[in-house]
Amino acid sequence: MVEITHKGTWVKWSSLDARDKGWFVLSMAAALPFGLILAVPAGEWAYQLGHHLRSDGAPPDMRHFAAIVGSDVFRYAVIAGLICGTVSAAAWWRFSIRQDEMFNRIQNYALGQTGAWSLAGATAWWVLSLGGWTGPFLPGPFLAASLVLLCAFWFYAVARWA
Amino acid sequence: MGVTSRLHHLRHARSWTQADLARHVGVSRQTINSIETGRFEPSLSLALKLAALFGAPVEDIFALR
Repeated sequence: MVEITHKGTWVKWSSLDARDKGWFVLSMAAALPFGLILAVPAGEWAYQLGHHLRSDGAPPDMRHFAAIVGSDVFRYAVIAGLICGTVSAAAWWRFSIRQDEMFNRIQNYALGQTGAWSLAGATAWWVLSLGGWTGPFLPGPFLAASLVLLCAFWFYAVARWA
Repeated sequence: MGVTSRLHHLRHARSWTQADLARHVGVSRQTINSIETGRFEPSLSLALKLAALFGAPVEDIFALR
């Protein structure tokens, strides 16, 4: 049964049996290609933000980024990344169902809170956009904010129960 | 309102480590530690497993704080 260490950022390796280790390693390894795909738009946003802060409003040159995103290699890499992400999630689910109630209470709390607050945030964004208070709904920043929330609720739950 | 337990006392009476007790009821050592220190309230099924293991009623092991 897994023991959570480093305030929720890692697990005690010796607490896992061979099957736990297999699912854990598969989940982490498959998450890497998926994370690399997500890093492309994240890099674009970071570049645009950095440019905006330094450039008096001149539009950034995004031709290199457009060439990468528009390439056939990237189009197929997105499909491969999505498959890897699905494999990672499935392996994590198999890992999770082998763990005890404290691990699952922590995980369910983090996922439940993140889901509820993300739904509330998406609803608020959409309703405000009807009145012209916000721009159109952007899934990228929304996903990034949801991931930050997930980490925050996970660390809170670990501090509370583990 | 939290829950207090006599788990630590009962475990020591049998000279078990937290890992020993965890193995008996199928949870992690960390979970036993969190229950003993009052941070984690076990589910009813885990409380019943512990009660059966120690041969005591649940209310002799756990009580409302």
